[in-house]
Amino acid sequence: MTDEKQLLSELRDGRLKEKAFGKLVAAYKQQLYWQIRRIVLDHDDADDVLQNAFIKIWKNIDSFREESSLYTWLYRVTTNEALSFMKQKRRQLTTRIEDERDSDYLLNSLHADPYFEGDEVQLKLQEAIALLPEKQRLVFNMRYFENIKYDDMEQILGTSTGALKASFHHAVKKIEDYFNTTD
Amino acid sequence: MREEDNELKFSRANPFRVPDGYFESLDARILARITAAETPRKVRIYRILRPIIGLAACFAISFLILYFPGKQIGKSVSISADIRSERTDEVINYPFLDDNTFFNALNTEQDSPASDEMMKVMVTYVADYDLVYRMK
Repeated sequence: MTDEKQLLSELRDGRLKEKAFGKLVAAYKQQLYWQIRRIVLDHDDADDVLQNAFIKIWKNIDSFREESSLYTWLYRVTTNEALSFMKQKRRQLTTRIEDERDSDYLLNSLHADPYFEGDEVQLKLQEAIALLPEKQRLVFNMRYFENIKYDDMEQILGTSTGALKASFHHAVKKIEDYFNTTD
Repeated sequence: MREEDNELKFSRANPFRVPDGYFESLDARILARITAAETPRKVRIYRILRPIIGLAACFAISFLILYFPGKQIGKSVSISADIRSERTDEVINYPFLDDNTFFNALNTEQDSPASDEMMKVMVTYVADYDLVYRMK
């Protein structure tokens, strides 16, 4: 926390901003990349979204009011950036309903991904996740793979803990159903 | 232990990977993009301000060329004219001073800037005997 305060004070000092931003990128790039990658799946898309997110962070760091931790704020910015990217992709596929369009895009990305190294079960799990509605997919990934606390998720996604738990529960049920029906 | 641990037993290992060296070069690419995003903004602002700055510079130079030297020349002319007129008046008036005023001026200890001229006038217009008589 002290490091975070120190980093923030350096980021707000014009002379130290660039150097401090380098520290911020080094400290958070991997966590934020994986958060984005789980949403968009494709590596090149994740790379674009991550870079755009960091540019937004650079431009808006002065408006960060410390109402949450820096970490949750960064997660919120990157998550929103990734969701905006998905929305943009969705507009390009105009004929289907929202979640179906997302699922199609994600399944295609998953099957064409040269950087997927999981086994069959892992591929199936990722397919099941790709078929989930957006909110459930987000909550499941954050909770199951990244072990983010519900309190932090509340701040990142702006949703109550109760609703998050319900989303996670529904996601688990749907994944189980997917495995049961495709076996 | 998390409440949902019993619900799913799939591996939590990350099945995705990134290209070799991706994270190592990421910082430099992000900072380069930030620099690139910042530079056009500065250039754009400069391009907008350039004609205004140019116009302001023209006015400033014109002002310096026309107003300042003119004022300085006018000032030096008026100063020298003032000095000259004071001195000229003093010298011109010496022959027309009445004797009392003239000798009172000689008796004062204050050394006026025109004392040399005064001596010349005195030598020219006042006879020696008259001077000796008055000094007594």
